[in-house]
Amino acid sequence: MPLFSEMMADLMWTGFLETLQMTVVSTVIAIIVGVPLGVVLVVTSKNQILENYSVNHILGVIVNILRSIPFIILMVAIIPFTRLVVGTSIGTTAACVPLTIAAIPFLARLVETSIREVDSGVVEAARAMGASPYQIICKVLLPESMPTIIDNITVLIINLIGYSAMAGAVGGGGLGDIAIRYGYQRFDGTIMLITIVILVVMVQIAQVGGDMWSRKLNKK
Amino acid sequence: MIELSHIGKVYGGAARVEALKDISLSVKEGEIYGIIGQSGAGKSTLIRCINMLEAPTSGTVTVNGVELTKLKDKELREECKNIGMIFQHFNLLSSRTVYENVAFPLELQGYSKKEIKERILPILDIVKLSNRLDNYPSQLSGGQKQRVGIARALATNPKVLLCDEATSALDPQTTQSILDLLKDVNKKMGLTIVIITHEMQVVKDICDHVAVIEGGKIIEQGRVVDVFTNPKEQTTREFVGSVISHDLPDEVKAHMDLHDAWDEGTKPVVRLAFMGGSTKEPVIAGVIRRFGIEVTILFGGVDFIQEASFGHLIIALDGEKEQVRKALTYLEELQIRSEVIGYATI
Repeated sequence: MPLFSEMMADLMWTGFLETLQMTVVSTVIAIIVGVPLGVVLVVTSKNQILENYSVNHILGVIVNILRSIPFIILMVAIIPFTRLVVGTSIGTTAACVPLTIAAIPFLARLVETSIREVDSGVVEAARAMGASPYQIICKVLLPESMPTIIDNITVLIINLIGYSAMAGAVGGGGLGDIAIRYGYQRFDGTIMLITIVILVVMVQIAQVGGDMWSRKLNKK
Repeated sequence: MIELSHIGKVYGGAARVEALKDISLSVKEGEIYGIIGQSGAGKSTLIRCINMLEAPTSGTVTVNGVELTKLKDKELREECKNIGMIFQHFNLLSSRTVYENVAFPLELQGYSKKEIKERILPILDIVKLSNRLDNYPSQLSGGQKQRVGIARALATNPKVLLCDEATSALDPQTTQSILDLLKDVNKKMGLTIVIITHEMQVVKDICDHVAVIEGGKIIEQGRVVDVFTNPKEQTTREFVGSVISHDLPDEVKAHMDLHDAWDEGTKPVVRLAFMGGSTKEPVIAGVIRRFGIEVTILFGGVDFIQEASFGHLIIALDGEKEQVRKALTYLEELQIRSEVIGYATI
């Protein structure tokens, strides 16, 4: 009997694609929602270009609540919401919902920190030139913090690869699911090893790619 | 060109700070106006009130005939485009090249790529950066960064340029070249420039007028030549003293016992200040010849404030008291400034 059957290869490939799907979908949505949220958290805070205490405070509290719920609990707790959005609470697509919900505030906080690091003098210079708040966001804050935002996204992707394995364990599919069912419950050391190797390679690719992109953009 | 009238600025909150108190000043078109003060004196706040980066809590700001303190945000942003500003730490966008940094203000105003190119290439030529268009700020020296800052401020063709400690982060040689550049654009483009600084040398080199600010108030203002030759306030004296020594050096002072009253056996010590033409008259020889007294020169020097020469001399008069008195009166009547700073036994 071959060590690694064709069926097993198929299983691993499917698992890999599911993990990839969960990571990509939740990363993309998190960027679309989380980056603007991070921007809003900065510009509405005290002494900033669009200072607004209530908006800043409400968003801050929501982000903190979502961030304080452990992912495994969040996943179960929002099952009704997940059903509402995708019609089911089982499977890879369903797993994308809690992953995204966890990813958005996570990225928003990271982006917030990155944007705060933009030299306030540069913003002042733009204001002196008559830049509108919108121009300051799009032409100063985002471009100036882009290298670190790319770093933030890299961290997010790596976290999501980890979370997706957790989602897999409770019916979301993916490599995590395979590792638990075949590797752990059936004592298949080979499967366990291969899933680990694939996950490590995925994380490495994300890290190296993110670093290269960030370095290319960083002119400091 | 710039008219500040009774400007006050109070920072609220628990620690209420009155940063500016009833400041009024006016800057004429084409003038270079220096505002000097120690750190914390309020000069940064003051210059930020001119382009409304900081809104004053009282008073009015009028630039180029428009009262900025009355405008709404959007109108104010329009007016800001006529006021350029450069900064101590340059505040360039690190993600943009030299060319893109200078293009930035025009981009904000929606100029086309072609128009931007036509406008900024000559400016980059003036600031001598034509060969560094594709460099990023991190690849430039401090002086070059400030040149980019100046080019960026000039790109929109403003009427007023505000300089916030523009040379404080630069070495003396680079400072000189930046000051020369500022003077150059002032002459060529008829630009009105307001400079805030804590370095009197900057004021001495390029300013026409100067205001001294302390504790949020203007304590002295006037033509640079007048303030330098005849500083009235202690702080002003200290600033002037940092580039031109008016007082006896401490080493000399230590050797003589200076009194306020003309006691027996003491001699008056007089400070003389000469401006321009009067420097050529034989004042000392005249005093000796006319009154038959002895003159001891304790300290002296000649300085140049921009193009005008300015000399000062500290002398002690010795002789018969009546003759010395006459000599003092004679000195007061001359076209020079004289002042008895004390009486010493020497």
